[in-house]
Amino acid sequence: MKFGVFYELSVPRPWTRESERQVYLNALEQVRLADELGFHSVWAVEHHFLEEYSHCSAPELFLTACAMQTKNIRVGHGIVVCVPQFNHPVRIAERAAVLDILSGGRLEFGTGRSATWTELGGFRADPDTTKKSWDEFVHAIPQMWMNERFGYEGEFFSMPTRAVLPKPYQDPHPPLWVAVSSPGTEFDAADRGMGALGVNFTTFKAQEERVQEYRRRIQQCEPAGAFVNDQIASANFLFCHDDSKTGVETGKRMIGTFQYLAGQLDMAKEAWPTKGYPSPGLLAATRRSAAAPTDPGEPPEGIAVGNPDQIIRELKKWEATGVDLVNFILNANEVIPQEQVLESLRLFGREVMPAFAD
Amino acid sequence: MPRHGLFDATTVAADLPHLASTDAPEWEMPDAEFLQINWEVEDEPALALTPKSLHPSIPPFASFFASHIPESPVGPFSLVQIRLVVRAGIRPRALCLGAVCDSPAAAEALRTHWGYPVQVGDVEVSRRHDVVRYSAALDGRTVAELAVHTADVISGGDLMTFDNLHLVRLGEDERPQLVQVDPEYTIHNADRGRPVVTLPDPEALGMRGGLRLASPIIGFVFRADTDLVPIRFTIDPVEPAITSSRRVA
Repeated sequence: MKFGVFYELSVPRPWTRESERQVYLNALEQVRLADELGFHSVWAVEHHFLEEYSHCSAPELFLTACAMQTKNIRVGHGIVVCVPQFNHPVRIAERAAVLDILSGGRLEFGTGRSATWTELGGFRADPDTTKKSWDEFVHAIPQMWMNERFGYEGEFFSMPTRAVLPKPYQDPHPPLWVAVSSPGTEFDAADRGMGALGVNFTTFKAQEERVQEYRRRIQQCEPAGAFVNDQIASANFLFCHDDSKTGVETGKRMIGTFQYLAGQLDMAKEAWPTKGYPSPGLLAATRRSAAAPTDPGEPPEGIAVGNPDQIIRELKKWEATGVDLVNFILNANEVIPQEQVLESLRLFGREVMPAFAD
Repeated sequence: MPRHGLFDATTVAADLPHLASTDAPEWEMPDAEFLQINWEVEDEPALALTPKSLHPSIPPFASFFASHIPESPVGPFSLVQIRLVVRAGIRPRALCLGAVCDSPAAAEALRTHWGYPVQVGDVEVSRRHDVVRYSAALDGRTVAELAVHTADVISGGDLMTFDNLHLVRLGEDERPQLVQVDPEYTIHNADRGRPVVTLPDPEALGMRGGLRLASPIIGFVFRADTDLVPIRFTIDPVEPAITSSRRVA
């Protein structure tokens, strides 16, 4: 099982020009360390207008900076929003290709459709149609990459034939993923031969069932791209400390902060009644699972906070479900001082990662 | 951390509905009609109307809510509510800023048992093939008009209602409190469509400084069995809800 780091880039109030910059600089320092420690990937969300919770509105720029400062770690869109009011698909294809070139072929291409009214309403996007536009985009973008010229007449975009340039460095194209937050989206991923990027923090028991069903369905998929990416990633929190109590309590403080910020956002269904968002979304799922009550000194089930032994124990459960990759959120609203975040990463690399080496 | 509201409820305590206790009666209200309109509102006036213990939603929006109750322990009545969506900690709630009810008996019960900030007035309900309208008036003067031009049939599972919060004076010491009113809805059918809202006199409905409409979201109507039950939660209006929420039943 591999490990990645996952960024929302939350910025606490009061916002200053310096504090916004410092959050980005801290994240870049963490990514450099993660690269040295052998982490597989760094992922960045695309969010807009999500006050404090996420100031990561231009992930392709952040990920380019990550790529330029590292050697091996892969850079992942977690995710790019495939809704026409947010992004034209040609611009998505172009930016991703440039990122893949500049990173030397290290791009993981995650896709999604947004889950908040804060964002959908902000761009005047129609919540009823985001899944359809996502579907159209994820089938079209690989064609833009693989064919010298591309022309298209569709429901959500149309264009005369043009050469969409440049092409990505990876041939035929980077691995495709889809964010899985609503129940059933893992099957959408499987049916299209795409990796399932679990951005919700479900329990390992539920995850095991979802992994099995994903594995079954992807055997009969019709790939959206040129090849099948059958990887499953799960999201998690990480705070590792030699002292169990310090590790768990600090980790829980981070999780509580994350949940609290997430709870302030207007989820799509809260504002707009629709079949397009059958559940309140990833943020509600996040709140339910990771905030479950636990015994004092014990991490929430499946969550990577505590001492190295506790974290190994919890991550072994994920490994047993068949998950290929666990992506960690390292901080929320900077509640953990940067030096402690870095020390947590170092300790994880020293004591935990060897237990999962191939 | 998230912003808190700016409204100090203790400054208007004398004007708040008085609840002798949280031990309200239980009402069953079958086959009722509802209209809900969600509409984004301007940030600063919304923050000024939000008690200090609560957070504004991001972005702030109003959830106008009208109902026609054909059967209740006090007979039929119609009710129009002006509500602002807030967060009590992380929980979405609708703070009722003002309401008009066409039944004096119902208004009295809603005010004294559940703390609705309700005034007695006229409420007209108009149902056409493709539009449902509620019009509320006080002393013959229209104060709120809500309409939904229904276009799409939706299912009950597609929509989300909000539990109410009401600012009241509670108990013998009459301390200001927020009380949560959380009806259940068993939804029979629902439609959604383009909303229209007119608020000619926000001050008349108790909205200090007014509520300024910004951007429409959507409206929907639904028919449901519903209820009113004893109050289960209270929140201090000044101390953060995350620490001051109390279960009382």
